[in-house]
Amino acid sequence: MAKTIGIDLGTTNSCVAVIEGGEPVVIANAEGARTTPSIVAFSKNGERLVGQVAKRQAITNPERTVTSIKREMGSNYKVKIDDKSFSPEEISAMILQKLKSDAESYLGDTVTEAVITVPAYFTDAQRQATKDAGKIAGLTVKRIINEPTAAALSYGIDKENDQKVMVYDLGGGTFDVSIIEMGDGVQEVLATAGNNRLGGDDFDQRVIDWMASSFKADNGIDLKNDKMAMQRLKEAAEKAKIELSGVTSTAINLPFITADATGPKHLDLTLTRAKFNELTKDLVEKTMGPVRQALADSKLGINQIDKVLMVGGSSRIPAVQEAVKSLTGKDPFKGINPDECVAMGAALQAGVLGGEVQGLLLLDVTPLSLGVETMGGVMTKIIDRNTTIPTKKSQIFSTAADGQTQVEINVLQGEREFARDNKQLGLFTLAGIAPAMRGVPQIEVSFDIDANGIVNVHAKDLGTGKEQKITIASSTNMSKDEIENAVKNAEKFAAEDKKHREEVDTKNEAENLCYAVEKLITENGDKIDSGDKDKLNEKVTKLKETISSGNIDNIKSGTEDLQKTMYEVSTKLYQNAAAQQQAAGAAAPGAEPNAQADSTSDGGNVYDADFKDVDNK
Amino acid sequence: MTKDQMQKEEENQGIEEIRGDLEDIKQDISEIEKLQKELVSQKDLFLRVAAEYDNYRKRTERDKSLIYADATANTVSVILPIADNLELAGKAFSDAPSEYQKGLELVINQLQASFEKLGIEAFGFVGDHFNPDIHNAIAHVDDENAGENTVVEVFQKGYKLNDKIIRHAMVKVAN
Repeated sequence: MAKTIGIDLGTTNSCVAVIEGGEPVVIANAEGARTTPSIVAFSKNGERLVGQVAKRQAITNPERTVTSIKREMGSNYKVKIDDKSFSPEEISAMILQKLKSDAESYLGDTVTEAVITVPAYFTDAQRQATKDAGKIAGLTVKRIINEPTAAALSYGIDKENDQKVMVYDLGGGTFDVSIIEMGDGVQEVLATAGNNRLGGDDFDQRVIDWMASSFKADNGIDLKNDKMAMQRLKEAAEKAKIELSGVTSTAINLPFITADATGPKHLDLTLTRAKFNELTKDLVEKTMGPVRQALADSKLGINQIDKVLMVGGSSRIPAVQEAVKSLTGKDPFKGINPDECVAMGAALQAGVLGGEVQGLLLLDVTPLSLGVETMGGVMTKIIDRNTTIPTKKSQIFSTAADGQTQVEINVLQGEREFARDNKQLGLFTLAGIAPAMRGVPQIEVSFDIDANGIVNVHAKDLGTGKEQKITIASSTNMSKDEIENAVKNAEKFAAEDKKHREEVDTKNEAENLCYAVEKLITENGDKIDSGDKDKLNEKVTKLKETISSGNIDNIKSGTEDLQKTMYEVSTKLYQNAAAQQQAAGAAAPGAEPNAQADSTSDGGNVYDADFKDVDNK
Repeated sequence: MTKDQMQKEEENQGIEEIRGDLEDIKQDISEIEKLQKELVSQKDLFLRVAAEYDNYRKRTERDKSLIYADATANTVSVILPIADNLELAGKAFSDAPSEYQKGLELVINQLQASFEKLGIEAFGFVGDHFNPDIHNAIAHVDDENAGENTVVEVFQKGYKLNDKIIRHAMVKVAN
């Protein structure tokens, strides 16, 4: 099933994405990078190189390396390599071919269709050239869409009301600002402006210059003629720029950057965000002119702009965001990787054209966890929140008391540890369970959510085959606020709930141990000597008292104490049994005298998920 | 009503009934057509999802097998600048007392040995034929003594884990 891919064919970098499971996913190239430099080179032996590999050899082969071909799209410009000449479409096609083959190896399938983005200001001729480039690369271009529109699509703005959006796109080497109108079926470009020689690289250069001049001031050495040192500065500058988007100060440390007669020299500088802002202030200001221009051209007042989207890697720079905010009075929209959102928007458009988005977006998730109430008022989750539906899960539970013949299934929805803090979706009783010791009956509870969010809860006693069920249609009828509230509350009360949960678990454990000891005495009473029996009985009585007193630490120590005594007594019991068997000469070879005994002492451990005892309620 | 008229009336009734039946059949057919269409589109959707899932599964398996190499490469790439600087220090120490030189040399060897243990291999040597798949050219010279497209200086060694390049060798290329 061939897919349609979305391509952001950029001036400096390109990016490709595809719809998967209804969501746009950026495809990493064969080298593992999520964007590919828009560079094509022809090596001396005629081999064609595209992307990072072309970039790495550019300096050795400048006359056969083509960069920023996008600037020439739609013109008569020709790239001459030896005796051959290539049109901008043909060079672009080589980039597209690389993206296509990366997508194919990712998808494990051939790709023949694409949506490609272009700047909003592209003329018809430039759009046609882009389309032709696709054709040469073996792609049917289903649609050419504007980059700002694609960015808006990635933010889902097409699904909202009609609105006016400003898209601020500061890439590696170009700056564009567009004002578009978008909404119910409307997509219109109202104005565009920009500067096609301004981008992130200029910001890097400012930092490099600053480092070099600081170094010169301190050491009297000019690094500008040292290729290796300059390369190190360039990498450090880019790293510092990126770090300063997250922290307010960063250390630039380049030991042994150079040497003179007095010995090695080190570059050790601290760049603060304030200093960085000062160094790049005019670059930021340079982007504001086009913003004002676009606003004027669109004939819109600043108050008529509903949203501001930030696109391009350099839009992450805090000073850039602040400048946009102070000019527009709006917090810019962030959240989607600004390097990737254009390609993602193109993929979304491709998905719609390919018919995938429509079908697959129907996949829904359960907004909150679903489960049942178990012993101690605990909510035991069966289906976790955010599980994609339809889904079915089941779990086996048991009874909490001897001879219990019915269990109550309290169906709950929510994230809290206790039943009472969650929403009750339904309640039903499964009766007719064959009376047995607690923990013996096996009751399977299964949750089945269909694609429409309708929950079927089904309880079955595996022993008798008795079953009972309930259907809940309203599990997904919660508003977004209700769901968020539920999740928030769960986080808020997490510590408190956890503590309470531990208390309940401790009590449950203690009760189960008392039960196991009593069972041991009843079943093996004649084999335990009366001193031990009294000791056990006494401790059980004491532990039961402690349980009702509610002091958790005491319950814990009482449980440990009783457990120790029980182990001592049961060890004695098995030793006696083994001795007797040996004495009687009845120990059959290969027999496991401990098997039965083990299961007795462990009998008390099968209580993890007992239902609360409804009979005693 | 004459006999003829009665007969005609009956015939008319019959025709009406057949017409009604025909209408029902027409409706049934359009219903069937609608369902068939729906079935086709559902089948298409199912196939898409199944295919996508299958590819997703395969890719996840492939990705999983690469996790170790990726994690190692990421970790090592953070340490590489320190390795570079140690080497630069080694070169800068050429005038230092021999014990200092020796000490630093031991530290450098230790680091290289640790890399080897992780399966990390250094590459990029003077005299290599320039290959942009593994070399990153940052300078270019015309040098009659060197061969065409030959690495004449290595500014920073490259490192790889099996076939995965962690960092390209930073080089100067001649001719």
